[in-house]
Amino acid sequence: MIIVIVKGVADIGKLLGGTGKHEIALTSGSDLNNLLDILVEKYGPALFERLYINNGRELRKDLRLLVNGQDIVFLNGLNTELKEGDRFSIIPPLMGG
Amino acid sequence: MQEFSEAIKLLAEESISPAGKPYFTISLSSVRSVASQFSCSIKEAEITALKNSIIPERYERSLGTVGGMQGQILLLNSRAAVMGLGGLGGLAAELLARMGVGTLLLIDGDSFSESNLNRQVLATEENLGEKKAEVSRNRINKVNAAVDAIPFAQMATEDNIESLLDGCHVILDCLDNLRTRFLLQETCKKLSIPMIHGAIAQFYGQVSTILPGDQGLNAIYRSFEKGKDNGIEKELGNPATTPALVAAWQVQEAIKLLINKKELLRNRLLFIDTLEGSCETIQLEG
Repeated sequence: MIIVIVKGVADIGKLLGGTGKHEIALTSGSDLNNLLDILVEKYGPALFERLYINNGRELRKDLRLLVNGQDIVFLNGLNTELKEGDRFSIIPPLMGG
Repeated sequence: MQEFSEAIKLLAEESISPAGKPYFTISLSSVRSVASQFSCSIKEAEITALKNSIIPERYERSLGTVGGMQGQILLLNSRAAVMGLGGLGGLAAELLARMGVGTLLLIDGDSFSESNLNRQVLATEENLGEKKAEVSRNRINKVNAAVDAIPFAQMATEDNIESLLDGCHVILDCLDNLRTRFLLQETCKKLSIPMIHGAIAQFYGQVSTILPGDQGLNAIYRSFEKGKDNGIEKELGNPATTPALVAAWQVQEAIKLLINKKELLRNRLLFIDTLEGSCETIQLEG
């Protein structure tokens, strides 16, 4: 088993059981797909609807997913493998002025 | 011109730096007096003083961060536009004026309302209903008369934005909607003007410097859905603090750019989380 630290920003934090950091246990060798499945199972359909479009086939493009502060587009996308202590964040777009 | 410089030199006062070096300064009242005597602007008088190695006292504390007197001359000769004069732009415009950015174009068609009072530094109980652009101009005139503050109290549109921004050296994106932000980026690319993006929601803020041709907003927002123009801030609100942080950081980027400092937040998104107490610099797709 490994433990990763999950953080949701703004409204996504609320959907992840409150803003702040949460520890999630995963089996060794898990990737981001596995983590997102566990989060949706744990926190329910409201999170699912906020993260996905096309009946769950596609993540919303305007959400930024980071592992240890690095955007997953520079890693292996949703296939990025997670290690013990990795920090995972989901950031929605900020638009206010 | 020689006579003008000589008059300024006569009004200069000698000071000694903490390191024991002598230097010359000129007070605001002397700048005003010589400008009036030679029928020139406060800005011209300040630039002439700086060219003669005389520091207008108002910039004494800035020079160490703007590249000295040459940097201050660059700032006074610069033209910046602030798009949006709400939480971000109202403060950003004032900070640019305090740093002595010589011409400021102040663009916002809105007027102040009560819900602005919690975070927009220019909003007061007395000026509710007044145009933000006019209030900003009046404030800047009180803070730094060397600055030409030009209000434009209408919204920027496809029809006016190009002529409005032509000739600017930098533009601060302090807007509150994606449609105009993308219009601004397109115009900046066309006119070859750098822009400094800032945005806020609740406890969070972000800043990035976008040079013409960079992916910029495309990398930050990725999919711009028409019609989905307002973000989570409409639901979650904004406190007084996050716009102040982001505006200050935007102005620092603008100043660095105007004085030709290389270390910009280009192709990077500074993400500020005041709830956790952290800042991250996120690499963007270039």
